[in-house]
Amino acid sequence: MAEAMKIRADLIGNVAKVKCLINHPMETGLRKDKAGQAVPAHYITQISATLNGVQVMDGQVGSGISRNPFLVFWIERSKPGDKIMVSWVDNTGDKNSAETTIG
Amino acid sequence: MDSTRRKLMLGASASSAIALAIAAGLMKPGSAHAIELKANDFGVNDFDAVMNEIGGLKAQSSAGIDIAIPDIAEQGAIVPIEVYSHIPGSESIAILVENNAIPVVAKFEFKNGAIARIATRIKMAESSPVHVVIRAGGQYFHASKSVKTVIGGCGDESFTSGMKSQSNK
Repeated sequence: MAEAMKIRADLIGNVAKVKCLINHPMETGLRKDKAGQAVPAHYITQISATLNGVQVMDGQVGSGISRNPFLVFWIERSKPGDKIMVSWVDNTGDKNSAETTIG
Repeated sequence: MDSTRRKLMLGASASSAIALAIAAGLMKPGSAHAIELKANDFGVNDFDAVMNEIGGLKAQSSAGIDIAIPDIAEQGAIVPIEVYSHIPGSESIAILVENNAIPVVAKFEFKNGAIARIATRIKMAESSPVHVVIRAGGQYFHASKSVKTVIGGCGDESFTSGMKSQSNK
């Protein structure tokens, strides 16, 4: 099962800056291990975010995102107490999400 | 021949993942997106084809797109990039690395107050132009920046030793 992910939101004026760190190998499927065997592709295909349950960001991603993906995005019209949730799905169907409240 | 087989397998696994996502109700086929990336675009290695798919070939170049990425990336496995579109009504940002085996890296859609701005870390197999395609009000805008990599980032694990010797930044 997927490891924990980190999420943090800082309010700058009325804009929330959301930082998110996901633990994921992001294997392209093109890499070979030391024995010369291709390492199977294993990467996140979708990352999306909601603000108080309303979708604000939707990302289709591929294996070109670095291992342990780090993502920063900005949401206008945010205020303390708003809930931000980030969730992802990978090519094996594994998924995870994390939620934070703007402090 | 071997590499063709791998590309096929990669394409197949990516499309099945998207099918799963659709089944799980996470993605609605053909919803909202004017131009949807196809699942197997993440397995396509033809830069022009995928650029066309994403609207990049009919895009006009724009100075309203900020791309913050190092001119010289010390190691290609982790290249920080930030894209900020100042074009009014920007809806999506797509990031492509021309010389990567799989050029399309990601496409982000913004709505309901999210600013058309994203920061992340991408892989670069070798020195390459990095392209950004923005969709704003049904039109497409393009900007690119050339990045040199010291150590490529899609190969083996040797980049960790390279990272230590390159830690001058």
